[in-house]
Amino acid sequence: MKKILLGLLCATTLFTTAGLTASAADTDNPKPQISKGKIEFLQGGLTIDNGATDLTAASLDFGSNKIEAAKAGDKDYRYANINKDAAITVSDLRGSGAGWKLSVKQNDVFKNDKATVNKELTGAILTLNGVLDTDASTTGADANVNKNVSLGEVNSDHVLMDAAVGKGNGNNVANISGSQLTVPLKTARAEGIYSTTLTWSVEATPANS
Amino acid sequence: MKYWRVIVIGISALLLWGWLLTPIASAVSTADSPAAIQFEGKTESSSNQHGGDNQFHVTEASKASSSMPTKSDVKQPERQATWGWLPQTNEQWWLSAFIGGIGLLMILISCQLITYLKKRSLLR
Repeated sequence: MKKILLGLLCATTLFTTAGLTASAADTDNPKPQISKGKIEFLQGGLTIDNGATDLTAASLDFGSNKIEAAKAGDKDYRYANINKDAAITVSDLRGSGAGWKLSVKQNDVFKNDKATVNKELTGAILTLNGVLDTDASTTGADANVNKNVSLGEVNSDHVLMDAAVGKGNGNNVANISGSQLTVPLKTARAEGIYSTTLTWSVEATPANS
Repeated sequence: MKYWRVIVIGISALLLWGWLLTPIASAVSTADSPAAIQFEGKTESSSNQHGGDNQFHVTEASKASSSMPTKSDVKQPERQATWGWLPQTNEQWWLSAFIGGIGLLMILISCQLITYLKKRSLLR
């Protein structure tokens, strides 16, 4: 009986010691704990130049030009845009990658209201030459920007930039500084400023749908 | 009377569906930008418009200012839409849909009320 009691005492002491040792070892080297980090993004909008209605950034200026005769061999008068910062931005902050389409139309012919004659620049064709400005755009911007977009027909929409499904997220900036205005040789020009406006529209529908 | 009600409900549903669906496909954002060119010198006459014939008598002008028009120079044209009677912006579409929906709802409620009152008067 004594042997049994002694054995139980030893066993109890052994277990207790082992337990205390293990507990001490846990305190010295604790298990790594896990914490969570989280961020949520809410859907934004699809806008042109952050919703601005007056796009001065996209102003096209074909300069101040002398009225002079064409050189021999010229087919028409060509005037280059001198606003080197001319650009248009589409911000797709929806986060859905649903794609979009940016259209532009010329609202009227170039007009000089102060002129007494030749008030309209008849036959003048505005051609937009767009290039994706990767420096100004969001990293990895992948919208498609078109060149040689001729706005010959007034009030007719033309696609300058578009993004297929899965593309065009963030800011996509189209540099249009390389645009030019072509005026037929037969068009009479009056002194002064001829101007028009362009209306830009972004649609939440990809161009290929 | 029943047919008439079914037709009204059907047309209302179609109209509401049309009003609500259209903004999805229409432009969500529009904006205008100016474009301008300036000419200096003597205005050309229409009678001698043959480029390269050296028929122009151009007088030198002293202007050197930028041709970009100021806001007063640029005549902002009225928004010319293909369908002038339709709302042109997303917000206008939603407002129209809301007003249209409320209007149709009022019509339906009025119809129900009239029917109820008629039935009630017949019972008396």
